[in-house]
Amino acid sequence: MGDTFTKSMAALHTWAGVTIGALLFAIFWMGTLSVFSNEIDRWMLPDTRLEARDAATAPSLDRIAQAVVPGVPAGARQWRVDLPTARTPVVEFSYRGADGAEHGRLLDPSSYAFLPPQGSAGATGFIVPFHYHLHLNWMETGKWLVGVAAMTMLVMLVSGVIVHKKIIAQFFTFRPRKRLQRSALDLHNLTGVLALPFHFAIALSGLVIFMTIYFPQSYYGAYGSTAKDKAAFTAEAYGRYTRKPANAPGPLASLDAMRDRAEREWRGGQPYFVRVWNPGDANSYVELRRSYAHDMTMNLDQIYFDAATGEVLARFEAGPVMTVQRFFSGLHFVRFERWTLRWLYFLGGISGCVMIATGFLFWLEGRRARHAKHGLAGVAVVEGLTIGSVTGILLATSALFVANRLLPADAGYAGVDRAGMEIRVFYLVWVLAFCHAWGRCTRAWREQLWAIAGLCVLAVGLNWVTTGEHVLKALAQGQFAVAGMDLGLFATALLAMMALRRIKRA
Amino acid sequence: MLELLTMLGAAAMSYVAFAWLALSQEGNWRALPGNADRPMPAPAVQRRWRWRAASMLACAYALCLWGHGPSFGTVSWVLLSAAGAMAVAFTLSWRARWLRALAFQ
Repeated sequence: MGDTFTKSMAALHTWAGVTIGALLFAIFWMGTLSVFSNEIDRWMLPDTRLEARDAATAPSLDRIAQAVVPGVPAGARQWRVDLPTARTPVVEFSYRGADGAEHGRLLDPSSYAFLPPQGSAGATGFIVPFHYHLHLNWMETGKWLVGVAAMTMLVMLVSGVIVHKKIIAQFFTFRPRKRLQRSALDLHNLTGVLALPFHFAIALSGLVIFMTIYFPQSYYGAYGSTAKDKAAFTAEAYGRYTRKPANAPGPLASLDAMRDRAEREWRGGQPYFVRVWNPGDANSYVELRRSYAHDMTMNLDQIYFDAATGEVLARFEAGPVMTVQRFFSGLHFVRFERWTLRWLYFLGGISGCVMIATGFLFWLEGRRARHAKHGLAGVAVVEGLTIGSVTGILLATSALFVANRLLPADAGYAGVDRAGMEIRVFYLVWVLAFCHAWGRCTRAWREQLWAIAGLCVLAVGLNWVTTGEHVLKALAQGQFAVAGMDLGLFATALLAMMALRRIKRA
Repeated sequence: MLELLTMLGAAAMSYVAFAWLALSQEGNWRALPGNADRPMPAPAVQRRWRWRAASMLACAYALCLWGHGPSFGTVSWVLLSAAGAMAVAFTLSWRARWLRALAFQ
């Protein structure tokens, strides 16, 4: 029984890894980058490299309103400003038009002037959503694929522990000088076992975040399954106050006074965004949400004010179960302002990427000779899949950064704006990387690693040429995000070169 | 600054703790230069190393809790433990002689 069980777990681990591994790597890679999404934003959106402000000098909400309200078209359902933070030194203004479409601009919190359009989605607009829905929005396909990948990850972690023959004896074992198959397995076990709590918590919390999609039964039982039931659940769980427009004009009272009131109610807690619903209407109301920059739990505290009088209309705080859900969310989102812990999350993400890539390498090296002997196509197909999903996505990401610095400000083609073109460069390079991998087989490893190293160094050079900033200057000016991104690109190039050297030996 | 110092302190403690745990295993102890043919330290010494490792990890956790509070502290400690253990594994593969400093009985 024991033997059959281990064998079946081994088969499960292998098949789950080969089929889902490529998708899982893409999610892990984008998730790892998302840890530093705001920092990557500073690099990709050079106009936003403003001096970071401390909380004591929060900009005036009334002056922000003066600046943005003329830009809100009549009939807009709401407008919103996200206030600057230590990591994002700009005001993010957005509004939802009468047709439901969202539009956004960035504002300098010192001068209250709009920044020019950035022509880029940045990391928060492309990399972060890629991590959780792969930009496949039809019928939530992307979120479901990510959910399946996360569930498979949990299955693989458990089956991997069962399959591992010497978990204690080889707890610290890494033999880089042995055959590639052996070294790859060592590294796979090392990253899998030592970072197991991290991987497990990340996959599980990822599933918990989208509980209404993945486990809707949890509220169906109490509320029902219709759209109305879902709205009732959302209102009670996440908080929502609504009021229909009166269709008569109305004023907007002082937002700064509302903020002062909210801060008193929250005993010093500060708002991180302000949203004005039904703007300009007599029944307009203002929503303030409390910041969780210093907590793990992403609180749902909100206060609604009457826009005309500034009177409090409603307050909301999450119940106990939702607070647990928001703790898991916080554990996953890494929105808190703790840069040392942020780095540890980044390293954890990298270890996940290494675990997936070395799992593939072990599978390939274990079968290469046998498949060649029996004329089987398995290794060729999986090797192409591995190269395309591992070095391919790194290559596509490097190309995204190069395109970000290379495309002219007014770039656009066939109705696609500059931001869209950057993203198309990413997908184009990724598809080409897969074609190249299947066409060139094992040689593609070398060629793609060279290309990654080249593009990363090029991206650093282009940042210098187009913005005048290089690592030393960025460090001297306190632009740690820009310096970190440049150094990260250098490190990626260096790691690609080291991988090349290791491949030559294999 | 306190955030960085407590994190670095706990990272060092985690590294030393896992180094002792590794040394208490015969295979890793033999990886140290000059140890290949020497007799393995007595079981009592191995046990002492493991106790020291456990105490060191507990101290690291205490430091994390003190510097970062219960939730951030716990997550920091779990991640630092993984990082410390991985750093020890890489030390054993590339610079095993560094661990000789910790192999005192």
